[in-house]
Parts: sequence; structure tokens; C-alpha cells
Amino acid sequence: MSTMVATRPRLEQGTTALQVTELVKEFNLSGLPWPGQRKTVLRAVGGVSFDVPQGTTLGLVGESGCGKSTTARLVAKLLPATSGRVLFQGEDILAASGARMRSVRQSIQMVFQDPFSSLNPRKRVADILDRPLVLHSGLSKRQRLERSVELLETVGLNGDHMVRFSHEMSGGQCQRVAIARALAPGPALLIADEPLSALDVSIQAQILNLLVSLKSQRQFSMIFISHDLRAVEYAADEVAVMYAGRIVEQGPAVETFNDPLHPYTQMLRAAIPEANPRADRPAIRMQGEPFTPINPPPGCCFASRCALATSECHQSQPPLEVKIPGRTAACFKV
Amino acid sequence: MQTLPAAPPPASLSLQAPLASPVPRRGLWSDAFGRLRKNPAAMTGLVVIVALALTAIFADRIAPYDYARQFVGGPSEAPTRAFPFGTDSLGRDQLSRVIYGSRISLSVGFLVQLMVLAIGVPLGALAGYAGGRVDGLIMRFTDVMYAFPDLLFVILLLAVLGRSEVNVFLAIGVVAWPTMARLVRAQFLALKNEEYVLAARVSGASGWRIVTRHLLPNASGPIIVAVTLGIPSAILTEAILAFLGLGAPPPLPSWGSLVNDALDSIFTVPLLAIFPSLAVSVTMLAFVFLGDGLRDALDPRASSR
Repeated sequence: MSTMVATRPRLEQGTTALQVTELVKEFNLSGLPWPGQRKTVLRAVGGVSFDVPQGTTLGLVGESGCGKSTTARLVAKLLPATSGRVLFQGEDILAASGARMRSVRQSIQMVFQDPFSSLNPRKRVADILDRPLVLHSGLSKRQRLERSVELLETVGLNGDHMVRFSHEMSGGQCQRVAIARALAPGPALLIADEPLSALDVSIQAQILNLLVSLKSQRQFSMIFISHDLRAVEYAADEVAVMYAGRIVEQGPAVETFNDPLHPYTQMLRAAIPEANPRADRPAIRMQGEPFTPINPPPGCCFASRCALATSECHQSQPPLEVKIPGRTAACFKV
Repeated sequence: MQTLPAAPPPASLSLQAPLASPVPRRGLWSDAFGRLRKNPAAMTGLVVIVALALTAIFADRIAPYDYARQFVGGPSEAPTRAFPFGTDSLGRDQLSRVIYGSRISLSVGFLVQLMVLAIGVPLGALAGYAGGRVDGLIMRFTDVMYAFPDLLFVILLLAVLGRSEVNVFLAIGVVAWPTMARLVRAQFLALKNEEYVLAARVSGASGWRIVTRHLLPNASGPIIVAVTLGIPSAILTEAILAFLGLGAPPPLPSWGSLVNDALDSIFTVPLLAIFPSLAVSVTMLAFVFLGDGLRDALDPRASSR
């Protein structure tokens, strides 16, 4: 415990670290206002709500462009939200002032997808790790240096890496440095935005295990974003499946993937290659057009690709409701 | 110190290891210079530029005669032993005038680029970083400046400001900065969504810090290249102005005005025009070679991965 930034009060287990309510992000694609111009809006995130209980991991899954990363960036306040509420430890951070936000920053940290681009190519690892400590720890220069080496050791590197530039390291090493940087301020919430997808498969397991073990050691909460269902099943307690900017299914990770409710989750599940070549598992064929987030039609966002879709699905949006205790899905047909 | 656990070894120990490691670790700039040194064209350019700079600085010691001194013996004479580049229409030593001419050309090159940096970088940085309306406003203004025909605008400015050395610098600088502003803006637009910039924002870094520590250093390569390639174009513009009779007032020689002076005797003593023209060409080539070499050398990812 002594290795953490000691000043931050730790919340009791069982409380909610993060509470996201009806989060919406729209990008206005039309340029300057002009007579006769139609308003073009891209709805990247369309009313997403979820809770992350203290010390747990929420997995966000879905295909590219479904709004996973945008959601992450909204929660980290890297993008301004169009509407909605993000309560972090009970505080509405979307409404927080700049000065207040700066102190909240140390509690919400991110790990990004591309390990090379997430480290400044002109800085050595020592400088990269020093900055968050300067901003948030109040330690002396020498203490920061020791803390940096300690952080590197926590993520499986050592002091030798302090003088390296990102181009002098492998992707896995860069991602470890990025994780060390995220740990430096002692975050209460770590948002890992596709931390594995740019890595070699052999490295993915290492980084995944590192994140899982760090989480249990340091007891932070985590949002783990990935399109790799098995990684999410392994790392996450709860999972939220996103499609076209909405959550279509949510529930405990293992149950959700073993017995998916929503047709989209079923399709995702079926797309995972099976290790056993003799396993007889029906493939679900993809059909229909993918959803366009620009000026979307009414109705269920998945209707255009869904085998079960009826006229009802094309007319109104199914609400996210409890189907089995502890599990919700947004589908009329389940 | 007491907050640290006993388990990890003292940082000083693990930090000494890399210093003793067999692989020498160098900084990015020395790395870049190492790559530049292996480029013969760029090094030739650099040597020529240094030689030119020395010539310009020590012109009064190197030149055999004063640039304004007239010799008896007749106007526009071909090269002789005493006057290796010949004498111009007023009987002045052409070699001395070409040597002194380097002063104006080089100072135009450098001062104009200083102006370009001072105006173009902050405007481009603000537009690229702030985005939105600020960006729109700055870039429309830049577009307007960019849309003027360069040379005509410079001539117009000189007509208004009056003919002097300083005004030549100012006029060329005023038309040259939009290119730099556009370059810096484009760089910033691309860089500000890099994940290390997002990581800095997540850590609570201030906008000023992100601009000065993350965006500018990573945009410095293209900026340096643009400056190096902007110098010869400023030199050429000055030469054109001087050739048109709009440069620094006589008797101060500039390579462009020397070519103009030599036009009268272009058919009898063509060498008088050729030497200053060569000086302009060699200088421009040297800067272009160096700029191209810098472009390759300044990419930090170019080193062995």
C-alpha cells in the first residue's frame, strides 16, 4: 500500500466508482451555417448508461466505430459530451471546472491502443514518467526518480529502460511504459482503450495479465475496451456490448459470452474461432447493411443486420431492459 | 523516503547501469547530426553555407578592394590578373562586389526566415491547437495573404515603404510567412490527436505545456526543413528585386543588382553577369541540398529500430 500516492482517500468496496447516465456525443458534420444546407449530425454515442462498482472491471466490446473509444474519451473528458452525466466518485465531472478537473485528472488515467504513438518520440522514458509525478505527487526530484524506477519494475521493466526513447523499445515494452505512466498518479479508474489490439499475440497475453494483476494489487477500477471477446471475458467482471453508439447488452462477463441474449452478441460470439476443429458450432452468417451513424433511421440500430428483425424493430428503438436477473438487453425478440 | 517500501533496490543503483552499458545512448539531435554527416550532398551544402557565411562576415578583409572604389582603365573590362572577375561599368572590382554582395543575400535569407518564424509559427500553432473559429479566422486571413501574387505584393510594399535594405527584408517577410503558418497548423492538427498528447491531457498537462513540450518539438523537423528551404527562396526574391532595381540603394552591391549592372555589357563581357548569377545559384543549391538532407536526418524514428 505504501507504494501508492497515500494522500487520496480510498473508497469502500461496494460503492460506485463511476456512474455514467445517458451519455450522448454528436459530431456536427455540417460546416458554417448556410441557407438551404441540411444539418448533418454523426451520433457516435447515443445515450449510454453504465456503472462501474469500485474495484471492478467493466469490459466494453463492439466492432470498430461502435463508439467504444468515444465513450472512453468522454469519460476521461478528452472530448466534450453533447449531453449526459458522468459521476466519478459521486462528482459530476462533465460539469467540473477546469481547476477542479485538474485534480480529478490524477484519478482517471488512460492506456491507449498504439504503444508507439502513445509515447512522445522525443522524450526518454524517464521524462515520460516524471511528468505525471511532477503534476500530482509533490515528491522531490530524487524521490520522483526512485518512484519512476519503481513503476517500471511494477510493469516488468527496470531502470535500464529509463534512458530509452520509444523507438528503442518493442511494442510490448512501450505499452508497459504507457501503463507505468498511467499508474504514476495513483489512479482510481484506469481506462484501457484497446490496449492489446496493436500488439503481437504473444505479447497480448502478457499485457493482459499485467493489467489484471495490477488491478487486483492496486485495487483500482477499470474500463477495459476491446473487440477481443476472450480478452474481455478474462479481464472483466461486467461487460457491456456496444453497437452503433448504444449498449445492446450488459451483464456479467462469463454469462454474457456463454449464453448471449442479444442477436448481435450472439453474432460476435459465433465469430470467435474455435480451438477444437471438430467442434460442431453453427456459424451465423452476416447479412444486411451495417448501421450508418449519420442521420440514423428510427428503430433498432441492429435491425438492418438482424435475422430476427420484424417491422416493429424498424419502427421503434427497443429499450435496454432486464431479461434475466442481473442481465439486460435491448431487443424485442429476447 | 519513508513512504517507499524496502523491497526495490535504490534507484541510484539501477540508474547507474545504463550509463555503464556497452551501447552508447545519444540524444536525438546528435543522432540526427550523425545521419546528416553520412549525406554527402547535405554536407557539401553545409560546408558551402559556412564558407559563404564567413565570406559575408569577413567581406572587408577578404575582398581585395573596396566595393565602391573606381579604377581608371575603362568600364566593363574582362577579367585580368588584378581583377579576377573583371571590372564593372563604373570601373569597380567585380570580385569585391560579389564578395560584398553575399552580405545582403545571406542576411535577407536569415532575417526573412526569422520573421517567418516569428509570425508563422505562433499563428499556425494557435490555429492548429485551438481549432474551431480561431482556426477559421486565422486561416482565412492567411489564405488572403497567400492569395496575393508574391512578387507584385513585395513590389507594392516597397513602393509604399520606400526603398531601403530593411524594407526589403520586411516586404519579403510579410509575404513569406503564410506558408509557414499553414505548415505548422497542418503539423499541429496531425499531432494533437496523437495518443501521447491525449495522455498528457489525461495527466492534466496545461495547454501551454502541450504546445511547447509535445507539439512544437515534434513539429520541429518539418519547421527546420521549411526554414532551410525558405532561405534560398528569400535570396532569390531579393535578387529579383535588386535586378529590377528595387533592392538596397547603390552603391551597396547585391547579387541581383550586379547582374542588372552587367546587362549593358552582356554581349561584350558576359562574365560580369555570370559570376554573380553563379553566386546566387551556388548559394541556393547549397541550402536546398542541406534542407533535403535535414528532412531525412530529423526524423527520430529513422534511426535503427
